[in-house]
Amino acid sequence: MTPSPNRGTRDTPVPTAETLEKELEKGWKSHRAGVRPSQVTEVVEDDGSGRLVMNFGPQHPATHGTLRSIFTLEGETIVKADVEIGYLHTGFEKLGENMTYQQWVTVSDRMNYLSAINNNVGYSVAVEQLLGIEVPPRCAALRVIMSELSRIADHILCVGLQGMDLGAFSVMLWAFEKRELVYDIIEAVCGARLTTSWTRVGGIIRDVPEFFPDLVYSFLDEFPPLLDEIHLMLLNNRIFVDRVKQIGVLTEDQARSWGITGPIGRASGFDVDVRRDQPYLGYDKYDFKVPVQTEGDSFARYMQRMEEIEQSLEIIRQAMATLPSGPVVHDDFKTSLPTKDAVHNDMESLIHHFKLVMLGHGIQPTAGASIYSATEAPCGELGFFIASDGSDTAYRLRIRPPSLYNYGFFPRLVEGGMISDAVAVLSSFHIIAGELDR
Amino acid sequence: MAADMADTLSPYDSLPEHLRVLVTDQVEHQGQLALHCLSVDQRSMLEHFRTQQGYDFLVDMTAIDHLGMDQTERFEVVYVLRRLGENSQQFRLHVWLSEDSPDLPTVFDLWDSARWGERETHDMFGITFEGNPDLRRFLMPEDYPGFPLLKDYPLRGVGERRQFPRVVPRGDQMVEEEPEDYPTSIGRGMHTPEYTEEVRRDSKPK
Amino acid sequence: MGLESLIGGEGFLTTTVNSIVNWGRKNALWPMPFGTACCAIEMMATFSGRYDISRFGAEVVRFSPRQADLLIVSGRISLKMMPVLQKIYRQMPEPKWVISMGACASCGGVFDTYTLIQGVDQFIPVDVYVPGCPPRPESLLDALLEIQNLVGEERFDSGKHGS
Repeated sequence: MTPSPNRGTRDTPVPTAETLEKELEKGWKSHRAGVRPSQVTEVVEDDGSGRLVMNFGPQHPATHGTLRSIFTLEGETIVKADVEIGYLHTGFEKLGENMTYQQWVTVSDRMNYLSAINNNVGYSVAVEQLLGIEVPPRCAALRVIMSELSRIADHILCVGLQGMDLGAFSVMLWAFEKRELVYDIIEAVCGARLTTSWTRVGGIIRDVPEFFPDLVYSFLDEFPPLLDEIHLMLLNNRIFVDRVKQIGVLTEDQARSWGITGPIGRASGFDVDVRRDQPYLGYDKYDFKVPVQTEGDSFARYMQRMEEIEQSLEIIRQAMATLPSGPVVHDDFKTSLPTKDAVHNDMESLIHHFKLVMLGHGIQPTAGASIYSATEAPCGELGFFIASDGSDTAYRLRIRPPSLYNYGFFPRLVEGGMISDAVAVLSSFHIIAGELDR
Repeated sequence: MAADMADTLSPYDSLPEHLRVLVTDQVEHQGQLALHCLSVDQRSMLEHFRTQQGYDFLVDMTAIDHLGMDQTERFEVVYVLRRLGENSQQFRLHVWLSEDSPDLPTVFDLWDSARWGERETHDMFGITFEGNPDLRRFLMPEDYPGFPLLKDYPLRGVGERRQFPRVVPRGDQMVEEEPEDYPTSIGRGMHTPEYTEEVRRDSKPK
Repeated sequence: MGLESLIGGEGFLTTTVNSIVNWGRKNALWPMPFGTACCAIEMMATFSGRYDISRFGAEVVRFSPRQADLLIVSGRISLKMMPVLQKIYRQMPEPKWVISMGACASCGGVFDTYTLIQGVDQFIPVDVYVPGCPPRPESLLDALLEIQNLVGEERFDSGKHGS
C-alpha cells in the first residue's frame, strides 16, 4: 500500500480550514510560473534504455481541451501511459452545496458544453425524482426532443473531430455547418446557443415558439443527407479506415468492469442504455433500437455514433408526431417555478415565484432523503447523487460524469500501440474535459 | 447458485443471515433502496454482492461529509451497485466511516471502476483506501494540502487562487510581479466580504 | 475598381514604415487558441463555415505559441491550468496580443470557487475582453476587430510594450 503523500498523521486525520491556511502560507510553490506544472509521474533518468518520456497536453490540438497524457516511449511505441486530469476542475459539486436547486441548473450547462440540454434534463430529472414529482406530458416530450437534438449535435461534432484528427478536415467543417441547424433550434427555444439553462425543476422555462415544429421538421429533412456524405467521405478514405480499424480494441468485460458506458461501451458490446433499461421522461413510449457493435475498436465507435444519430432522428420524428399539448410546468408551485408570462401577469404566480427564489422558502426535499438518478447523456450514463438535509441547498451533490469512467481505461488501452494510435483512440473516446473534471 | 434464489428478492432479503445482521439500517426513498453498514463490514458486504450475487457494474462511488451533524460517524461512503441482465437490480451501499481513522479497504480488485472512484474520493475528502496503489492527487494539484469537499473547507478557498505571479513583458524580457490588487470586485470573485459590505451599504435607505 | 486601376502597373505609393507594417500585421493575425471549455466550442464555430473568421484574415490557427501573435484565452482557467497559460504566454514572440474570451476567463463568471482563477488579467496582461457566457461568434469577431484597431496604433520602432 502506498501511503498518501498528503495525509496527516492519525492524530489530525483531515486538515481543517485553519491548518490549511497555515500550510498554504508556508508555501505551495510548484505552481509559480517558471516551475514546471505538476508532473505526476517520476521523471525517468536517462538509464541508457533509450526510452523517452513524452508529455502530451494539456494544451495540444488533439486533446480537444485540457487532457494531459504522459507517454513513455520506446521508439514510437508507447510502453507506459499515464494521464493527469483536473486542468478544468471547477468545483461543481461544492457549488451544488451552496446554490439552491433551481440555481444549480445554470451551472449544469457548463459540464458537458457540447450538449448542455442533456445535463439540464439529467439534473432536473434527478431533483424531480428526489421530490417525487412528475412533469406534464408536453414537457417530457419536449425534453426528449431537445435531448435527442443535443445528442445528435454532440455525436456529429465527435465524428467531425475524429475526422479532423485523422486528416479529413472537411468532415469537421461539414459537421459544424449542419450543427448550426441544431443551434438555431436551441436558440429559438431558449435564447442561447450553448449554455441553455433550459429546464427548471418541475418543467421548462417556457413553451416552445409556434414555429418550433417547422424548424424541427426542416432539420429532419436537411440533416440526414449529411450522414451519407460523411460515410462517403470517411469509409472510402483509406487513411481514415486504416488508422481506426483494429485500433484501440476494448472488450466487453473491460467496459463492464471499468464502468464504460455510452457509445464507447456499446461499441464494445456492453449493452446498457438508461433510456431503455430505466426509462425516464416516457422514453418507453418511443420505438427505437439501441445499436450495439461487437468489434470494440475505434472504427466501431465511429459506426456506433453514426447509428445512434439515426435512432435519435427516429425518436425525434415519433415525438414530434405525438407531441401533446398542455402545460409545460408541473402544477405544484411549491416546487416548480411558474412560467415567466404568468409571473408578469398574475399576482398568485408572482407570489409563488418570489417565495421560491427567496432563501428559506424554496425547494426543500425531505431531510435525510437521498437519490441516485441516471439519464443517458451523449457520452454515457450521467448520474446525479443528491443527498438532502431538508434545506434549500443540497447537502451533497455528486455527479457521475460518463467521461470520468470512460477515460479511466484510456491509458491502458493505448499501451503497446503507437503515438498516432493514441490520437485515433482519444478522438474516438470523445472525452469532454468540463465533465471529466467538473 | 445463490443468484437464482436472489432473483426476485430485494438486496436486503437476498443477504445470508451472517451478513444481514451487519446491515445497520435500510432506507427507502422513491423506490430506491440504500443499505447502511459499518466500515469494518464494507469489504465482506461488497465481496458478497460482487461474487455471489453478480452485481458486476459499480456505477459510481462517492462520499458525504457529515461534519457537525448528528450522525453515526462523520463520513459516509456511498457505492452505487447495479446488476445487469434479466434480473436487473440497483441499490446503494452506504458505509459509515469514522473521522479518527478515515480508512477503508479498497475494492478495485472487484470492479476496476473503483480505481478512479477511490482516487477521486481520496482527493476530495482525504479518505484513504488501503491497498489502492494509485492514490495520487486527482483533480487538485499534486502538492495541494487541502481536501475541498470537506464541509469546513470554504467555497472560495483560503487564498490559493491568488498565489501566482503576474507575468508582464518589459521590453524583450518577461518579468514576474506580484499581482495588482483590484479596486473592483473583478479578480476577487463575486462575493468577497468587502463586496458584500459595499452592497449592503449602498442598498441602505438614505 | 480598386487601387490598382488608379495607380496602374508602374505606379508607386508613399507611406510610412509604421503604416505598412501595421497594415500587414493587423490583417494577418495568427491566433493561438487556448481553449478549455464552452467558449472553445464557440471559438471553433467562429473558425468554421458559417461565421468564417478568415474574412478578417485570422484563420491561420497556430497551435504552437512560437508561431502566433494573438492569444485567445477562451474558457475557465483553473489552479492547475494557470501556470500552463503563463508558460504559453511567455513562449509567444513579441509583439503579442491577448483576448480574454468569455466571463470565466475575464472574471471567473458564475464559478466563484476555490479552484477557479477570477480573471486571467490578474496574472497576464489582457488587451480585449469579450463578455458573454459564452460569447456569440459575432462577439469574438468584434473583439478581433478591436485587436486590429489596437495593432493599427502600434509604433513599429518602440515595440508593443515600450523598451
